[in-house]
Amino acid sequence: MSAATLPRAGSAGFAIGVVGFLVTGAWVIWQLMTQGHAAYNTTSNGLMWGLPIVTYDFLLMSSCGAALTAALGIVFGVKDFEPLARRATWIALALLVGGVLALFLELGNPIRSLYAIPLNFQVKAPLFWKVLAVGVYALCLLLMAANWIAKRDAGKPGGVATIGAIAALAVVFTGALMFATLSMRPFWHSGEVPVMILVEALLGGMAFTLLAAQLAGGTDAQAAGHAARWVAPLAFLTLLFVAGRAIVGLASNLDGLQVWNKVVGSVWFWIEIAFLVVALWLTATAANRASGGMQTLAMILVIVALAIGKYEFVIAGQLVPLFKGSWVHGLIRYAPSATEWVLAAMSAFLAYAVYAFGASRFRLGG
Amino acid sequence: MAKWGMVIDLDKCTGCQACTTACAMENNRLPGENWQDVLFYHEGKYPNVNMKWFPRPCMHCENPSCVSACPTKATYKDPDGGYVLIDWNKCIGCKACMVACPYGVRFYTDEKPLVQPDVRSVFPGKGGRTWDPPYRAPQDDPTRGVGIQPHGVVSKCTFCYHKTSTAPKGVADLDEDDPKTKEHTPACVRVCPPKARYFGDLDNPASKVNKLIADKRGVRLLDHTGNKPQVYYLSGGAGPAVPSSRETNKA
Repeated sequence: MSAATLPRAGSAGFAIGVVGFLVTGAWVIWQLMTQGHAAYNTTSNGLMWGLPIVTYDFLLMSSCGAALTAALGIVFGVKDFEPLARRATWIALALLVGGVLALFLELGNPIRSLYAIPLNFQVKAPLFWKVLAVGVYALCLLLMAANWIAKRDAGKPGGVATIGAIAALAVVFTGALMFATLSMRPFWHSGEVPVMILVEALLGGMAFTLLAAQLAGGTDAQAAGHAARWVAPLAFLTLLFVAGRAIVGLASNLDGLQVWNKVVGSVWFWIEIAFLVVALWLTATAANRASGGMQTLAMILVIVALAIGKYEFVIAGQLVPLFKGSWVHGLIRYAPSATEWVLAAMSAFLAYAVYAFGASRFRLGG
Repeated sequence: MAKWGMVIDLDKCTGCQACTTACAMENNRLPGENWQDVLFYHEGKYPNVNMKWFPRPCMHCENPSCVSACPTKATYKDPDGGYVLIDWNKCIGCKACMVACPYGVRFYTDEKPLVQPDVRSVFPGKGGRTWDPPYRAPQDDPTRGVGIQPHGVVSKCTFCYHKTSTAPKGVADLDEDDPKTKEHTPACVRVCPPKARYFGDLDNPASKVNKLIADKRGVRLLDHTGNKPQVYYLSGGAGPAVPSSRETNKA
């Protein structure tokens, strides 16, 4: 089938994504060129990683989750995901591009990072292994896009998909290690954190995939409805992790965990819980799974809840100041700057533009 | 090879901030970007308020978590001297080291000023440096984080590497009262009015720092993190006095 006869539904989306990316990108670049990273509200007083890192981590983990969703169909032969695998793979690529953009605009020397990380072999650093894993992961996605998605009649890319899934798991776990190994930050330092991040990644990737399939309509929406039953247990596990960590944090008197009082006292925490509970109900009941509207709502709720959760996780872990004395009274106060919000939107627009390009150019459905 | 370490006697420290000022002048620090700081804390409520202070340089840990977090080896442990240093030519500004430091001793260059006004706008940098102060110390070694840093990197205390690394070989202590080592003594140690700071070779059993640690039961900060600082505190046998950041719950 030639490109000219392929569905063109994504063309408008692609245009929206590109225009949004260019407008937000112009703002961010202007701010960075005139103020540098002072355009962000991050500070050496303790809040080093702000909304750009939240955006990066959320998009990258969701990308890995989408790749693992595709692998469920391609590698493990789970029937529910076979018709969704192409779309999930392309979504993984789109989210990866958006996430990496956010990271590059946060780094002090992004160009240097391209060669300094792989060439200096700091094997003790989780981030070194993470970058290697991301490299393999990105290569696998590109190969799958070129040899499978772009060629409609090509067979399943079993080998590349398997390597890509292993790389995605490595990205998730090495990324989680960066947080979980820091003994001076009790909010992060916990053995269950890598598992929690894996569950959230899989849930996020699956939610993005099913949302896109629902919006595509037709047999794709039907397939998404069938696969939605996998979302329920993941949402339940995520709720367990959030609730369990919050209860332990509130009950403990360990210095560093008092940040849970602030987290639980925030309305956003309860929005996250409420959205996950509603999404759990919408995906656990057969009648709701048959409704495209309900499933679209469920996936949006999951994505918003996970974004809130990622913000809580990354930011709250830094709110207790470490040896700042009277420079910081109480917990660190942080709210993202306008530039940080626009940067997050810029990354989202880029990811959407990449996805919409694929949706307009290739047959992503089953 | 020496393994330099510092001993700070909390019973002598008056919190005068001479060390902080000397460090800022020696190393051309921006206001608020205190590689060496004396931190002030208070506990309780009026009229039962207890004010404490706590001098805090970089701990130059034996097993530093910042080194394990850095993905490019920009932050590294120098085997010759035991310094933890930053190679600004390798730093990518990811700030993972700052997140991983238990002691809050690291500073990122490109952000809103910690103290207003922003002197970087008054003395804008040249040649890629972040600023160009009217007085600039001569030392400049970007591979060890010495001098004025370029944009987009992290900086921290170097134990005055440019002074201590040129000390006579085999010397046990760097003491401002000894004419042979005076110019090799870190700025914060040299200016301390009550002589609360001592600097010497932790691997030399004859060094004064080792004797002080042994005789006065020197302790290390947050030893449970596994970082093993090379800065020891003397506090009459008690631990370093930094109150918990948690508020006390009333029974």
